[in-house]
Amino acid sequence: MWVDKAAMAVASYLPRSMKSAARRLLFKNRHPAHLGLREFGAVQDLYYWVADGRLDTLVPVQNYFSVFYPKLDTATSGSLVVFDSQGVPVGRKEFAVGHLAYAKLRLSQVLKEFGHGPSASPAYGTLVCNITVPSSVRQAIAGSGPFYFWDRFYIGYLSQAGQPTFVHGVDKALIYHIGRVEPDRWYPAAREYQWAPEIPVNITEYKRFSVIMLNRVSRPKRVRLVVEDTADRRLEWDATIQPNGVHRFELTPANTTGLGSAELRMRIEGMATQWGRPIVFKEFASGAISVMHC
Amino acid sequence: MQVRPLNLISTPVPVLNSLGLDLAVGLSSDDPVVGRHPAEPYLVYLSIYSPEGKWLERRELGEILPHRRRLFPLSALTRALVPSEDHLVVVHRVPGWLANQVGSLDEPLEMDKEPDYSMFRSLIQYAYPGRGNGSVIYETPPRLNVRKTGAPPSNTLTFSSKIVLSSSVKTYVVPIHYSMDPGYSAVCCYHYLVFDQSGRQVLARTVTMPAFTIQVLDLAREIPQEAIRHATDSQDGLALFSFVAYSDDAALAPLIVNLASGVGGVSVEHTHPAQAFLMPFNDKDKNRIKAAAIGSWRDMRIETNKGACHVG
Repeated sequence: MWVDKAAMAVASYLPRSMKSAARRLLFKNRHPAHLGLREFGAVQDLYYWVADGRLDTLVPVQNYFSVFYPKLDTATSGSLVVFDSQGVPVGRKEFAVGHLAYAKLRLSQVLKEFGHGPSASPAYGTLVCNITVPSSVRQAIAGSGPFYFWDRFYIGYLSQAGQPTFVHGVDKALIYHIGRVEPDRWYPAAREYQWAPEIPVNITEYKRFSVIMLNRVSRPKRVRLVVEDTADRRLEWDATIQPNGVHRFELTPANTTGLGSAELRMRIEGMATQWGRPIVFKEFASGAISVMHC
Repeated sequence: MQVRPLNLISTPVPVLNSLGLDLAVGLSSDDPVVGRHPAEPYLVYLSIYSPEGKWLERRELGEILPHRRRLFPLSALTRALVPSEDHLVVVHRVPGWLANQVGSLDEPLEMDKEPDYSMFRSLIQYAYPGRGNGSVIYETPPRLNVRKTGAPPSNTLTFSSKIVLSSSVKTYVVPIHYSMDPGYSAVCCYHYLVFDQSGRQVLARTVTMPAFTIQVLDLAREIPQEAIRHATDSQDGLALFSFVAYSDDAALAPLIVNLASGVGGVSVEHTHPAQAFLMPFNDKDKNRIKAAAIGSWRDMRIETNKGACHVG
């Protein structure tokens, strides 16, 4: 296993122009997406959750195996692992999901099951959810070589008024192998990436505008949010995010004083993984909410 | 190879007049991934189609200067042509250096290879004016519905768990039938099914979609009221369903829109194609498994004699 990780790390440092040839060499007779994909299983992302009395989180777990194999019995089981904002495990919940069915998991209820009351911390953090490849599907893909699913599921957030808003996962964090409880990390090491979200931010439209960053690697990672206006004035904020942890950069008209209010542009510096871009969480004076990945 | 300037960076966008939503598009002149392209000016154009899929006209929206974001409100412009019906528009960005090389944006340009503007996406924002908005970010997949002579058409398999209904929340599925080939004229069938939390099928329907059109599927109206009542959680008042759809005739990109008009709440998300969920050892298995799944769904629909649809 350490040989795989070393090879992955070496490959990740190669210049873009050399990556293709190097990957062909390193990955000969191995899964082309990742050296750690040796068996069967699923790849999952890390997701942000909040349950603070004002907002709640809904995980609607659709049995996606049923979509690919509607004629098989794809009933299976899953697990939800919840971390606090510092990446410390809070609890683990097992659940069942039938063929063509889905499991509805609401974080406020899950936290109660873990023994956390409505006003107790943590109020936000991260989670990872995995449903096991059903045995019928395992048999169907048995002759295909190493085979993994990438579960790009949607997570929902609910306002007090019962309005839902959804966003899908944006990256890969953990590899779940059939027959093993503990997953492996997708990324062998942290790197330094930037992201320039396309969204023009008109800050006066929002009561609160949160830029949410997660850490999918095994070491703490420092990230910076830069916000600039149309006159190129800028403000910036720094944060260190623990492994499996989350940081919310919260922007309001008050804390962006000094910048113009319209068509603000953002940049994230120090992203640990190439696709670990932010999600933005918009809260409006009307009580409406909306979430979007960048 | 031939490159169409208007196809280099484009996004098909549903105009949702029937839902009372204003539409704006947010665009950037920076490479979102940072480092592949320097910031440069872009010209922005909008192609407008009728509800039946007929091209109406193209407007120049303006220029984005380097290192800038711009939000272009579109509703006033589109409603001058299509006041109240739902229809398709397409947002195009053309790099300034490329615009300077062509006499006409409609003429293909001969290039050694297509410039890589992948991940140059548009932000599509729907709003209840003065209240809330919701946005989503995506781009046109490469060679979308560009048919090769003799090859079978593209197909679609999508699914979603974002179907939420309540006394204050409605959910709409909005499939988009678009092509990067301006001469594309295919009509496709879009078959969709809805399941409750236990996996019981509560809806199976088919719609026919001409090229360059959208559909707005109002699931609160289409799912039987008894099924909604049965699925409603007495604790939170929400009825949740899952959605599966397929087409043998075209690649369709659906948006899913959750609206709470009482508070002005808008949530909009795109869906990934089913093959994006598969990571086989052999990449060809993606399409094989997807095609087999579509075949299974087709068989099951025929067995239950649901909604016939045949296109040439």
